[in-house]
Amino acid sequence: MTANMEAHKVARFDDEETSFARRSLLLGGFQLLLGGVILGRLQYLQLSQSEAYTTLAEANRVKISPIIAPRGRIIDRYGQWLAENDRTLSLSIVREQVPDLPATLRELQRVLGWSDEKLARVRNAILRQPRFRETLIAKDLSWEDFAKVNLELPFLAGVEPKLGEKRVYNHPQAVAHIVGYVGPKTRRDIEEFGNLVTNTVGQTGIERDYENQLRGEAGVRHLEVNANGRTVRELSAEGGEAGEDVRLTIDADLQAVATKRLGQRSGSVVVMDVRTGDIMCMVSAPSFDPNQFASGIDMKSWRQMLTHERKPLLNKAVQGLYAPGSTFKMIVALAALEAGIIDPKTKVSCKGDYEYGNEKYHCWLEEGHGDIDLEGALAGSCDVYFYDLALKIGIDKIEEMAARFGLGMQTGLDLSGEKTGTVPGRDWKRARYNTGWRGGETVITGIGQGFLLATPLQLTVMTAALANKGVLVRPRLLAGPDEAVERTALGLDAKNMAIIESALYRAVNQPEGTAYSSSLLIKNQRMSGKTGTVQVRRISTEERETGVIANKDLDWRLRDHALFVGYAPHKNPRYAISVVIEHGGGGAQVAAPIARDVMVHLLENEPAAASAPPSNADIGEIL
Amino acid sequence: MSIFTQNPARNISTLLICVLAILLLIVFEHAPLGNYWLTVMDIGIFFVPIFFLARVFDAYPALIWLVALGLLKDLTSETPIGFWVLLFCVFYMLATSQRQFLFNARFRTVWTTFGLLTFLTYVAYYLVSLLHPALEASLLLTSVSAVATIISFPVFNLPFRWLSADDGQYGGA
Repeated sequence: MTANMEAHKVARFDDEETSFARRSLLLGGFQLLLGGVILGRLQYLQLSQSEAYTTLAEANRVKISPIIAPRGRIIDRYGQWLAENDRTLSLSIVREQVPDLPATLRELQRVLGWSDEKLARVRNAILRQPRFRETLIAKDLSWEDFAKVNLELPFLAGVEPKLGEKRVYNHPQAVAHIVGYVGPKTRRDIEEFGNLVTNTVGQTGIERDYENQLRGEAGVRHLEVNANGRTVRELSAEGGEAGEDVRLTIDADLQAVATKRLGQRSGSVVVMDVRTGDIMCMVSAPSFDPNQFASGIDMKSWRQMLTHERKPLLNKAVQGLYAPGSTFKMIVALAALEAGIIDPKTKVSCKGDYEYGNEKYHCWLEEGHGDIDLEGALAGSCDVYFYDLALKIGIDKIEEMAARFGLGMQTGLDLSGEKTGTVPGRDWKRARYNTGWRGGETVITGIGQGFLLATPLQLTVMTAALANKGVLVRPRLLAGPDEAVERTALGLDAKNMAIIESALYRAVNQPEGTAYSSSLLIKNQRMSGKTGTVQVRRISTEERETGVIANKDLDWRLRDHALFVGYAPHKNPRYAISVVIEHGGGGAQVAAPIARDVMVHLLENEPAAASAPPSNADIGEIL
Repeated sequence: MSIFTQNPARNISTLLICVLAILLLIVFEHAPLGNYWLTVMDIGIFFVPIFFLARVFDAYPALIWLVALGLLKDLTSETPIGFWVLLFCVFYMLATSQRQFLFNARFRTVWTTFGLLTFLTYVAYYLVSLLHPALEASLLLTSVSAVATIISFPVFNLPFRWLSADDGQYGGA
């Protein structure tokens, strides 16, 4: 019995030993397998993938930071800056580098004196971004606040103070439409310019059109960073190349004078050097402040601008389309003279209206101009004369002459967004309305109305060609050498040009002229020009009988457009000007005085104007 | 006869299995799991095999292995040399002193004892962290780490329970 019990104990002991040994082997084997997997993975990472991970580790240790090249300045023809860079102090944060975001934000609130609302806005902005992405949390900080944050930096892991640049604009309202503005980079910008390192890109105007030139080349800085992403030291830096300055033909002071003179009106003033095509002044009103855009405009202001009745964002000088009105009469006259259809001495009797078909067309002078010749009709802006003349020569010749003067097509100005306008004709009408041309439309085109549309810049270029005795000069906004000026001789008879020249002189400088009250008051300097008043509503027969309602009594949108085109000095012309005032009233009363004041400033202050005027022979040689 | 019945072959097997388990757990602790809280916490799962080792193996070679593993842990955790050595040894000593108490104890008692010892060890962890400038003392993180360690005991103890082949002793509920 005892022997049996002993045997049973030994057997049980052997079973347990066997069981323990088996379990130990299994557990140990599993552990070794796990260890083997780890070692295998280690071998793969450390040896096989050594190179790849070394590179990644290096990239993790070394942060490549772009050195944004200073953006080029935009300056006027005399070197006065219109757009340049100013220092800006900001703060950004990378969420994944912040151990305790609420505590960090509370600390920033304490240092910067943020309100609870501001704190909530910042927190939401950070949480909306992916953890690894940098979020701008404060911009345009004062030096004092920036210094305070820098002092607290050891307790603000993940917060990075940034020293940057922002765009600032001089004479902002005066140059906004030309210079444009910069704004945050958009998908459209990336598609057009590639993936830029800069955060801001030119959005409109020169800032947009010359983005590549202004931006320059970014440099690269290699920074060693710690595990929190904070910079430990700078390893190397390769400076970029600063953007190039862009010099414009604009005279900033003249621009400011024209802007001030326009005041609250809606319209434009364009002044061009008739010899070089330099745009000395190109103002569109009302305007806006591009500085608002550079530092981020709020939605409310943006909506107000978009929906404003007078369209402040539109560059009316190149994008505004207006019927040229009586400023087009020179083209009609030249078409007739060149075709030999009229003798300039031939007179037409103006009784205040003109009948064609079943329609009666009125002259602006109710009692009529009486018997009047071409020069007189131009100087006094007789509508009846030009109704008659238009019918005599027909729409084809008017269309052809308008096109020769650059109407109905872009002038070639080195600024994007220019509109072409409309020079109507038979083909145009067939294509547009699928109907034939009607005689009444020729009549109305004779006084620059109907379908005819032109930009203020086109009118200036047209006037410059008249001042140049029939040589069309391509306008330019970027200053360049005289050799680069593009001129096209229109092949017009000098005698005919002289007739127009004389008529335009009379329009401003003789009592019968519509712009006599705006003649220049500078000794030995005279301006020639032509007024224009464009109706934007139909005046009924009943209204004519009871008396046409005065512009001042009408709603703004129903008032006439006021225009004036001209050039000065009359002898040896140097500058052409166009003034268009939307719903401004009469051209003689509103547009011409503005043109006179701008021209007076120009002739009195422009160094080129102060120099001895070249002789006719000189001009001929230049042209 | 249970695992607590000593013989040289069993002792060596048990020691090696526990050492290997602690080593693997130290290595696994540094696996990049991409979770911030898991990174900053110090969950001491390796205390489970140390606890098991203390109950079955009180000879001095165990301490030598624990000193070596503690040093490894100090190196991988970038803590001051000796920090984890101290904690491993303290925990092992405390656990060894409970061998008599835990003999034939129910699982609930074993777990509670493990919890108490872990709590005491983490108190030491926090106190040393307070005293040493290179260590960041966080009462919250230390507490959460201790609780996580205690909660994870039943899962990580399973292989050792299986190895001990003494279901009656561990399985009493």
